[in-house]
Amino acid sequence: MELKIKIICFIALLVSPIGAVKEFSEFHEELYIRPTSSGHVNTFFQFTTRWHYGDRENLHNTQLIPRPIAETLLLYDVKELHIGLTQGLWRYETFGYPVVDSAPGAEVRAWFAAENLTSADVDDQWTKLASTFSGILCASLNFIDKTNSVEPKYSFRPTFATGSKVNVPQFVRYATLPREIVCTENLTPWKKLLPCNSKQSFASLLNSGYVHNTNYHSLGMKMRTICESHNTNCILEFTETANMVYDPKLLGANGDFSLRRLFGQGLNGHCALAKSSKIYVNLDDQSYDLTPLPMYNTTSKRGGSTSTFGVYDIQRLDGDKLFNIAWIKSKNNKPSILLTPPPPLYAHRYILGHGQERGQIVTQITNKHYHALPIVFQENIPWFVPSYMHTLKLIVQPSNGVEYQIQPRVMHYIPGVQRVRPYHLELLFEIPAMSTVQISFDFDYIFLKWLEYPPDANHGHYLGSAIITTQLPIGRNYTAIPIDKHLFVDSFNATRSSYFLEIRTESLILSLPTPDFSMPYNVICLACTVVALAFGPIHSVATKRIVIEQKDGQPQSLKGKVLQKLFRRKQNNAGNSTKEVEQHEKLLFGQAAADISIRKN
Amino acid sequence: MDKSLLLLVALGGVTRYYLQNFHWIGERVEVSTPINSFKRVQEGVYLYENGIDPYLGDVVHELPVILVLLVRIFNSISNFVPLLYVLIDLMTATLLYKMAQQFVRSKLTEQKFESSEYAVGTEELQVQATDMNVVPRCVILAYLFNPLSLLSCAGLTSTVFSNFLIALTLYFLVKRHLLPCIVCLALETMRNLYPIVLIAPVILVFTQRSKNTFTSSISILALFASACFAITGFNYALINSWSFLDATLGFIFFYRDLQPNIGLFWYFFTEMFEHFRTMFLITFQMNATVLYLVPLSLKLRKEPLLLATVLIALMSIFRSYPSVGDVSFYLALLPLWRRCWKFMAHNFVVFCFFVVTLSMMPALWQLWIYSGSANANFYFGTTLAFSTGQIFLVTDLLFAHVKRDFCLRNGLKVYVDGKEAKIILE
Amino acid sequence: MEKSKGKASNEDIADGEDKYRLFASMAFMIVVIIVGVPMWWKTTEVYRVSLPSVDIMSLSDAPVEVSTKIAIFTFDKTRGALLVKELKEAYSNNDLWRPQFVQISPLEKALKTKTPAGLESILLKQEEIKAGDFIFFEWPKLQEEILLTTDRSALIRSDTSSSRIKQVINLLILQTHRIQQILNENHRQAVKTEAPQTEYDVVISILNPRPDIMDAKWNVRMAVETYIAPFLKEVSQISNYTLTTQWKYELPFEADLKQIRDNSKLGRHYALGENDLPHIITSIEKNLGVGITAKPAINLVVYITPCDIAPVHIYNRQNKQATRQSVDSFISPKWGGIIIANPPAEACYSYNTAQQPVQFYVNTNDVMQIMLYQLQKLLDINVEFNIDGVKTVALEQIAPRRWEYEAYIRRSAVMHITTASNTLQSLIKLLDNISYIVINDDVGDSINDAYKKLLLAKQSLAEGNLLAASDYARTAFVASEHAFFDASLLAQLYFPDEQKYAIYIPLFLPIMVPVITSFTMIRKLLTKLRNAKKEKIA
Repeated sequence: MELKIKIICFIALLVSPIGAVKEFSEFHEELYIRPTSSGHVNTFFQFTTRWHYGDRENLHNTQLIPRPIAETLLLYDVKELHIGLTQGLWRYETFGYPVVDSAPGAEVRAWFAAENLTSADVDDQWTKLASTFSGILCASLNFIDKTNSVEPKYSFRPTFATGSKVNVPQFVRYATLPREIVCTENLTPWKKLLPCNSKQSFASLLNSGYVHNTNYHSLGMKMRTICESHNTNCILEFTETANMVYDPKLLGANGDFSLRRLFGQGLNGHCALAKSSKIYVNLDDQSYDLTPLPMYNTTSKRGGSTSTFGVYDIQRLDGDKLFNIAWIKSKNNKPSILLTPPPPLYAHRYILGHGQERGQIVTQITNKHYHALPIVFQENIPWFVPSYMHTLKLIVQPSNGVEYQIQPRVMHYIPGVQRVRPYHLELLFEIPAMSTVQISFDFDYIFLKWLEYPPDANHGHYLGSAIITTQLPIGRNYTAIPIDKHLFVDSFNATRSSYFLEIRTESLILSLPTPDFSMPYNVICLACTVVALAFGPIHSVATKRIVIEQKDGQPQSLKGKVLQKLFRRKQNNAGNSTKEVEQHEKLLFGQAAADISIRKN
Repeated sequence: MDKSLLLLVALGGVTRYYLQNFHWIGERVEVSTPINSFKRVQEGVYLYENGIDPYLGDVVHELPVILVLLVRIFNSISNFVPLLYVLIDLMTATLLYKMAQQFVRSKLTEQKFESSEYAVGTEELQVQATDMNVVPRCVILAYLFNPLSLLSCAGLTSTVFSNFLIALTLYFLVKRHLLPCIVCLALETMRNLYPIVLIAPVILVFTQRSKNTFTSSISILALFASACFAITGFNYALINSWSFLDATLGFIFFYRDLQPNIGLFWYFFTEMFEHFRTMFLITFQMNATVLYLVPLSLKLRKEPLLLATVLIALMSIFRSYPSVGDVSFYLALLPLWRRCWKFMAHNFVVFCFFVVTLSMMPALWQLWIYSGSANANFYFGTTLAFSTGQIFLVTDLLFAHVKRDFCLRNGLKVYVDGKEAKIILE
Repeated sequence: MEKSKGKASNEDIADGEDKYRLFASMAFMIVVIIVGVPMWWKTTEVYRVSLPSVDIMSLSDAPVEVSTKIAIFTFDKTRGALLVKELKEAYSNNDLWRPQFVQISPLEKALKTKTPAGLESILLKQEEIKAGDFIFFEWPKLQEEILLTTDRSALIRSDTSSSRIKQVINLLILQTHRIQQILNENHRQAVKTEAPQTEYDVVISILNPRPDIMDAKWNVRMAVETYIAPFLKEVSQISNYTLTTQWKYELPFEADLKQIRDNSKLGRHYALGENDLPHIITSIEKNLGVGITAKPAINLVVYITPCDIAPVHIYNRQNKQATRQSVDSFISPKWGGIIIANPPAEACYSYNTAQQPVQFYVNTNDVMQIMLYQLQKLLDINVEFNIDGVKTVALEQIAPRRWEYEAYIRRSAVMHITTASNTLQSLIKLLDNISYIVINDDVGDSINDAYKKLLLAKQSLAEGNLLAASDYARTAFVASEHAFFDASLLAQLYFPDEQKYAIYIPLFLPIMVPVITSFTMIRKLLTKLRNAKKEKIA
C-alpha cells in the first residue's frame, strides 16, 4: 500500500528536528483572515503549544500545556488525538479548503500505540478517553462507544512518532456524534485550556455571542507526541483551532468589515507568554483596501499557485488601545474578478426515496482537476441503518460524455450489527479527470424498541458525514499545514510532491418510523388475549370429551337458562348420592337416559 | 397425472412468472420478512463472493448450504433465478397432489376395516371413492392459485424453499419413506426452527405398525437428532465458523429484528418493557412449539396428518417472522379434510376475516409509512385480526374433526329417549 | 342384544380415551406449571447475592478495642513497679484502651551509659518495641519532666508522676479525645471528619499573574522532588500521593489590596484582609484546572506577587499584620494552602524605576519549608500541645515524628473501621427497604470482602499490631465504598410492582384457569378408573 510507505518516510522527517534539544516549551498564537470568493470571510485562529518534555515522568510538571492534557498521556496510550466541534456546513466550492477540516457535530479520532497493546484494551481506553474529554470540553463525547466507533484502515494516517526501533502496534479509532450541538459551554472550557486568560491575547476576540452568529464555526483540538527514542526525548504538540465563516452582508455596511465588526471588539494585545502572535491577511482578493496597512507582505508559492499575505506582528505594536483592522471595498472598484477558481475536488451527499420503508444514500464526488485522482472514501453508517452492499454502485458521470460504471479497486466493508456495531465501508478507487463519481447504495428504515428512540423521536436520527481523502498534485486552494510542521506560517512555500487532502460531506438526517409511545399496556393486553384465544379451545379439545345433552332440555331464553343453571346446581347437590352411583355409567349412550334423568328429577 | 392437471400446473407457472415482473411484491412486509426476503439472500451472496463472512453482520439469515448453493446458481444461471423459484413452487404443488392421492387411498383402505363400527347413515362423513379424484385436485388448486402463494413466489421469498421442504416431508410421510422424510424435516428445522414440531406426526406414523412403540419412537428421535447434527456439521465445514447458528436459529428465537409482519411478535416486542422481554420471548416461543405439541398428538394420534396440518397452521400463526407464504401452505392442506367441512361452523366468518384484513394491510401500511396519516396501531390492529381469523380456522377444524369422529360412530343424529340430543364438549 | 355389543366397545374406547385425556391435561400442566413457573421466576427475579446481613448489622455491637505495649524503665526498680501499677489501675476499667504496661528491670549496662540515645538502644535490645508501642525511660539530668523524642520513646525525670505520664499517653500517644470523636460519629454527635482516601493528587500550582513583568525562574520539579516527595514517601502507609506541578498564568487575586505606607525600600506594602482569603480561594480554585482522575486533590498554591503590588502581607481582623517575613501563607483545611512569595524589595525597586520586566528567583528553601508545614497540617499528622514540663525534641529531618505518625495511623485505622461499618450497615438497611436493588456478584464480593477485612482489622487492633490493622481497615473501607457507589445497584429501580400484574394477567389468567380446573377433571377420572378396576375384580 503506497500510503504506508509515505508514513514511514515522513516519520523520519518528523524526528529529525528534535535532535538533543534541552527541555523547552513555546506558545504561538496565529490568526488568518481570508475573504472568500463568495464574499464570505473566513477567520482561522490557531494556538500552538509545543513542549519538549523529555521523558514520561516529566509530564507531571506542566507549564504552558494544560495539566489535563499531560495527564491524558500518562493515563492512556494515546499518541495522537483530534477533536472537532462544528456547527454549520463548510461549502468547498465557494470557501475553498479549510486549514483544518471537521465534520458537523462532534468528531473524535485517536491513535493509540504501545508495546503489547491489544485491540480490546484500546477499545476500553478509547471510551474512557472520550468520556474524559467530554468532561474537559463539556461536550457529550461520553456517548462514544463500540456502537458508533469504527477502525478505519485506509482513510487516516498517523502524524505522531513513537520513535521506537521495533514497530509497536498502532490502533486508530474514529467516531462522530452528528447530533451534538456546539455552544457556549464548549467555548469557555476550550478557552480555559489556553495558557493566557482570554482577556488579553487573540482569545479575547472569541466571544460566544459573536462566534455563534457565524454561518460556520468549528472548534478544534489536536494533540500529538513526537518521540525520538521510545518514551524519552519526546515533544508534545497541543494545538487549538477555531475556524469561522462570516457573512459580511449580515454584518451590514456594504460588504466592508473589520475585526471589531466580526468579533465585537478589537484585539486587546497579545499573550505575554506567546513566542509569536501574528495576524495573516490573505491579499489575493484585490477588491478590499486594508487600514492600517500590513507591517509587511509575504508571498507564498505552493504547488504551482501563488498567494500573498499581509502580516501584522502584534508583539511589535505598542500602546494598549484595542487594535483593529478594517477591510474597505476599494473606491476605484475594478470588477472584483474571481481569483480563486473552485477547488479541484468537492463532494455532496443526500438521501433518495420517499416514505419510511426503503431509501438510498447517494454521495457525489466531483473532480474538477485535469488528472485522475486516487480517492479513499469512508462511510461510518450507524447500526440503525441496515445497508445492502449488493446495491453498491460507482457511476462515473464525465462532464462531457456518457456515464459508465466502475468497480472500486479496494473495498473494506464490515457489516454492522443492530445495537452492537456500525456499518463501516471504505472504498479505494480512482476518480477520472473532469468528472463526477456517484456512489450509491440502498438501506432500510428499521424499527427500534420504543425506549431506544430519542425524546423527540420524530426529529429524526443523524448519519455522520462521509470522509473523502486524496492526494492532490497541486496546491490550489490548499492551506493545510504540512504534517511535519506545526504553525500556520509553515504552510507558506511548503511545496511537496503531493498534498494530503481530507474533505467531509454533509451529515444526513433520517426519520425512522415510530411506534405509538402511549400504547405499551394496550398492546400487551391485545396480543396476549389473542394468544390466549387459541389456548382455550385447543385445551378443551385435547382434554374434554363428547357427551350428549337433550336439545330441548332447557328453555332458550337467557333468563330461563340462568334460572335453570341455578335450579340444576341445587338439584345436583340434592341428588348427589344417586349421581355418584351413576357416575361410571355416564358415558354410555344407551344409558344416557340415566344421565338425563339425574338432571331432571 | 392427466392433461388437465398439467395444464393447471402450466397455468400456475405462467401466472407466477408473470407476477414476478412486479418487483414491489417482494418488498411488501406481508410477503417478505427479514428471514425470507430475496434482498437479504442477494446480500448474502454478494458478501460471500467478496470474501466477507456473511454472518458477521445481521443481514443474512440463510443456511450456509443454501447460500453456497445459491451462489453457484447465481454465477451459472443468474438470469433464470426467478424461473428456479417458479419451478420449485410448482414441484411443491405436484408433491402436495401426490401426497393427497396417497392420503385418500390409505383412508379408503382404513375405512374398509373400520366400516363395521360406523353408524348407519353416515356415508357423507366417510371418504368416498370420488374423493380419490376430487381431494387432490382441490389441494393442488388451492396451492397453485391461492393468491397468497402466488405473492410469496412472485416475491422470490425463500419461503418457497421451506414449503417445498415441508411438502417433501409430508410426501415421504404418507409414502412411509423414513430416512428422506427425516432428512428433509431436519434441514427445514435447521432453517426455520419451528418445523421441529413435525417430528410428532412422523413418530406417530412410523410407530403405528411397530410392536414396541416406545423404543422405535426413541430411535426415530435419535435419527432426527443425528440428522440435525450432521447438517450443522456440514454447514460448519462449509464456512468453518459457528456464526451461522446464531444468525439463523438465534435470530429467529431471540427476535432481533422488529420489522412489522403479519404475526403477533413485532409490535408486542417493540412496546415490551425490557424487564419482561426475556420472559415473554420464551413464553411466545413455547406457545409456538411445545405448548400444544403433546396434547394434540395424544388427541390426534389416529390422524397424524391432521396433526401435521394443525401443527403447521399453528406454527405459521405463532412463529416470529410469519409471511403469507406460510399461510398459503397450510390452507392448501385443508381440502384433505373435506369430510369435516360439514361441521365447520365459522367458515364464513374466517373467510371475511381473511379478505378484509389482507386487503386492509397494504392500505394502512401506505397510510402509516408513506403518507404518515395513520400510525403503527392501525397496522397492528389488522395483523391482530388476521391472526385471530387464522386461530378461528384452526380451532374450528379441530372441533369439526372431533364431531365427525363422534358422529361417524354414533350417527348424525343422536336420540335420547326419543328426543334429539345435541353434542357438547364437557 | 346389538346394544350391549355397542356398549362394550364404547366402554373400552372410552377408557382408552380417558387415559389419553388424562395424559393430555397433564402435559398441559407440565408445560404451564412445571416449566413455565420456574422460567417466570428465573427471568423476572431481581438478582441478589446472599449477604451476611445479620452479622453486618451486629458489627457495631462489638466495640473497637486497641491494645498497645507501653514499656517503662527506671533505674530504681520499685519506682518503676509503682508507676506501672498506678498506670495499670488508671486504665483498668477502660473499654477502649487495653494498654499493656511492662517494666524493664534495671540492668548494670544501663547504668554505665552516658547518653539517652545509648540508653535507649540498650533498652530496645532488651524489650522489643514495634509500631504503635511506646517506651518511657528515666534520665535523671533532665530539666523537663518529660521529653518526647522523634522516635517511639520519651525521657522522664526521676520525679515524674504517673499522672503526668498518663496525661502524655492520653493526649499525645493515644490521643483519646480524637478517637472518641471518631467513635461518636455513628451517634451523629461529634464533628464530622471524613476518613482519609487511599489516593490523593497533590497539585502544586505556581501562579504568575503578570508573566509580562515578572520573569519568574524556579525549577519546581527539583524543589518538589527534594522536599515534598521524600516526606510523602514517609507517610504513604495509609494513602499514596501523586505529585503534580503546574504553572498558571494571568490568574490574579480577586481581592482589594490596601496600600500601606511603611519605611521599607519600596516605601509601601499591600494589605490582604483576613476575611478576603475565602474569596481568593474560590476565585483561584475554579481556574486551577481539573484533574482527569477521580482522586481528591490537595492544592498547594505558590503565588508570585507581581512587583506592581508587591509585597503583599496578610492582615488579621484587628488590622495588624499577621506575619513579618517575606513569605506569607494560609491554609484552608481539606482544600489546601496558599503561599504568597513576595519578590525581594530591590528587584521590585528596579521595576518601579525602569518599567522593565524583572527576573525573580523564587527562594526554594523558604517556600518549601512552609509548604511542607502546610502539608503536614492538611494531612493532620502532627499534634500541637502545651503541657508545662512536657517538651519534644526539635525536628531535624523532613519525616514526621514516629509517635505522631503512628498515632495518625491508629486514628485513621479506627476511622476507616467506623466509616466502613456504617456504610455497610446503611447499605443493608437500604436493601431491606427497597426490593428492586440488584446485587451482582462483583458488588456482593466486595461487601463480603469488606466485612471480613473489618473483622480482621478489629482483631489485629485488639492484638496490638497496628500496621496490619490499618491495612485491613483501608481495604475494608475501599471495598465498602465501591459496593455502596456501584452503578449496577440501580439497574432496574424503575418498575413499580402493581403494574406487573397489568402485564401478567392478560396472558396468564386465561391460560391458568382451564389448567387449574382440569385438576378436578383429573381427580374424577382417576376415581372412575379405580372404580372400573374394582368392578373388573368383582
